[in-house]
Amino acid sequence: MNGSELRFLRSVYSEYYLKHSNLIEVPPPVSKREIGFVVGNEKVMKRHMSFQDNEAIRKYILDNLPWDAFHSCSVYEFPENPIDKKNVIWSEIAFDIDAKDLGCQGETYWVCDKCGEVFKKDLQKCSSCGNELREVNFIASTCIEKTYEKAKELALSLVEDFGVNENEIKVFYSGHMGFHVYVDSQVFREISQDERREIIDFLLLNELQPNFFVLFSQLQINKVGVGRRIASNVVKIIESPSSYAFLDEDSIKKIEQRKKELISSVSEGSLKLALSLLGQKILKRIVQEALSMSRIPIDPSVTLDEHRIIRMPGTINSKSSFPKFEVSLSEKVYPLDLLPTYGEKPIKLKVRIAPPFRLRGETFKELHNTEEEVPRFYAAYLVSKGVAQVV
Amino acid sequence: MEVNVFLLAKYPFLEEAKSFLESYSTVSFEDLSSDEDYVRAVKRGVERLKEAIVFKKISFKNENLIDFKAEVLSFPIAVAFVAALNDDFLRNIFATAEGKRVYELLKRDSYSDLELILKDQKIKFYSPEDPSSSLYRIAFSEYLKVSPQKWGKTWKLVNRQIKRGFVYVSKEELSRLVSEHVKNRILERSRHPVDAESFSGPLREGYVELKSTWESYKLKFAKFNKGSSESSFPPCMVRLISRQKSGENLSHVERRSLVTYLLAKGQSVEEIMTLLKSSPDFKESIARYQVEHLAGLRGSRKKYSPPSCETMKSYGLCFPDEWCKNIKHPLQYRGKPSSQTSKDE
Ligand code: SF4
Ligand SMILES: [Zn+2]
Repeated sequence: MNGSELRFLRSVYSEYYLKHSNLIEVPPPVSKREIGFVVGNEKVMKRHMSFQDNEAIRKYILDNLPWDAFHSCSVYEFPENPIDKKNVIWSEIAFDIDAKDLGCQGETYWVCDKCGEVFKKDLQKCSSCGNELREVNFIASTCIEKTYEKAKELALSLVEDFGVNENEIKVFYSGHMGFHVYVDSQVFREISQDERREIIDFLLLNELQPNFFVLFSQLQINKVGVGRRIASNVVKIIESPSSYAFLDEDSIKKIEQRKKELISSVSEGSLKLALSLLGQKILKRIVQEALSMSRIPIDPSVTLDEHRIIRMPGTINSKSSFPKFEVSLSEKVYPLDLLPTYGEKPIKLKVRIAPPFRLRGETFKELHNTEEEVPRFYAAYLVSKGVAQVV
Repeated sequence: MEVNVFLLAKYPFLEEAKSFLESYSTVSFEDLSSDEDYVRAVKRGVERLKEAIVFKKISFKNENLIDFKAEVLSFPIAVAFVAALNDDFLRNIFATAEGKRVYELLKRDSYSDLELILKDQKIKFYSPEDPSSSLYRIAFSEYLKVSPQKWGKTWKLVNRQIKRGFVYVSKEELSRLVSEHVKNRILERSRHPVDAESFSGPLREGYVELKSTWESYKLKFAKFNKGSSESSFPPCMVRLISRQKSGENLSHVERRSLVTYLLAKGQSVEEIMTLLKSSPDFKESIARYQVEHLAGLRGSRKKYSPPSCETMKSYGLCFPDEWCKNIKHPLQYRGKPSSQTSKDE
């Protein structure tokens, strides 16, 4: 990235923050949290800061246009001290689900920074000039949607399994390829760092007893705990059997014919009807599939570490130049359609590669080694990915 | 309020027992030294602790019920002894034994006292929803607090029925959880500092007797533990090991430094687990997870290396001796050059 790209990004950041600084919001008590920023052309991380209130943070951000901004999940007596001298008063708990952990890499290309070639495969070396290739992961809409679903499942588990109030849970699009689920609930405040391990294992299905299949042989799925998740995924498979490749024509037909009955019996926790209809082999496959669908692949290190700092809501993520913002738990929307509006004015870019991408209800077409006028907010995304230059 | 004194004799850790004792006597320990009840209570207190040390278990006989005053009072006295002896190893032994006693009493009386203890200890729970179900429900935060996952996989949250913040447990399981809770409370109580100098009369005698019992037990235990090749370990690690062995809770950084060092020295996960077991807050599955993680057997599969001397210094964990002079890494430490142990290194 050279000077003019950096200047361009800063101008987009500045436009966003001038318009939306009210979205920047550190949860209270603001002054008792550690705040961190990535600043300057060298992108250095400045940690252990603290601010009086959100207004002061907004002012700092407008003045300095940091590349990234973070706040601690913990509330400290001395937020500015080094980690071991901060004194935790309490900790809120955050979960991070990234598309990568769902096996969703996004659209991936390999670009040669020397001659500008673009490859769909990793050839290690550029076939035109022999230079090393750089991997670029673009956000893929399908990945975002899948990850969003997982974030909602996580929120549901917190409510149904752990008894958290819905209004104590916030779900955020991270600005890049993931979602953050942030919980401030009295019960979770009392949970120590070690005890969090058990919650993580619960979500990741770590050390789930293999005798889950004993349950299965008794032909019922518990309607509570992990069983609730598994049962709901068995229902999901029954709802649209043809989207599961492991099911043969015959099974699909059988399921379609008695779908309603099947769904209601499984929802009740009984697998009897499913067994008599489909036979043991198929049912076992279904349950196994449901089991792997039930895993909620959070990043354990984020949840475990009480000193972790997490991206500040309302601030821009430098990986994409999109902001992190809150999304609804209940609505069925494509989160990136809700990206706050900024950077509408077009700018001319020289684009190496850009796959088609849906944003704010509009689909941006594929671009390949071309000059094109695109809105500034989208241009900022391509520049951040290192695949476009300001003309 | 009607106090069931027999119940207090069975479960002297109950909050209710405190108020009973307060009403029983407002005078201090010293003024009591000639009171017969009190003398017997001290005797039973000494016995409680001796039983814990020798048998890892505290008895309950029906005649204890007859002498209920002494039985109730013997408990805080035993706690005071433990606090005064001020040794985490002993604290752990005593609290574990008292916890076991509670569990066995609950079981013996077919769990009839279970709800009473739960209420007294302010543990959030629900009785079985309807007669057809025998499952209690306990708040998951209370459940996790005693970290039952160390008792095996079936106790892991992932393998439990849980709904709206409550974990389903059988009567027997709940009794086990409660006993563990009691153990933890006793550990806490025995950490309040008590000065042995303030003891006089029967209390003084009891203390002296227990002190010698405890010392000789520790001596035996230490002999049993000898024989590892720790003599070639650098002073920083020796310190961590001895703190660990005395039952102190090492900080995260300290534990990590020690474990990575031992792994690099070729100790097995099992050997390290045995060492870690002496922590009062030892949680088998968590400790195992951490050790296996550091050994590169988990997650990222990255094996962690022990910190350098410089890093140890920055943690404030470096205590060099004369053989530390020319080394940059604890793994380079060879100790006294003539020592036998350095030969095969
Ligand atoms: S100099 Fe190195 S080996 Fe010696 S005590 Fe310090 S950290 Fe340990
Ligand atoms: Zn090239």
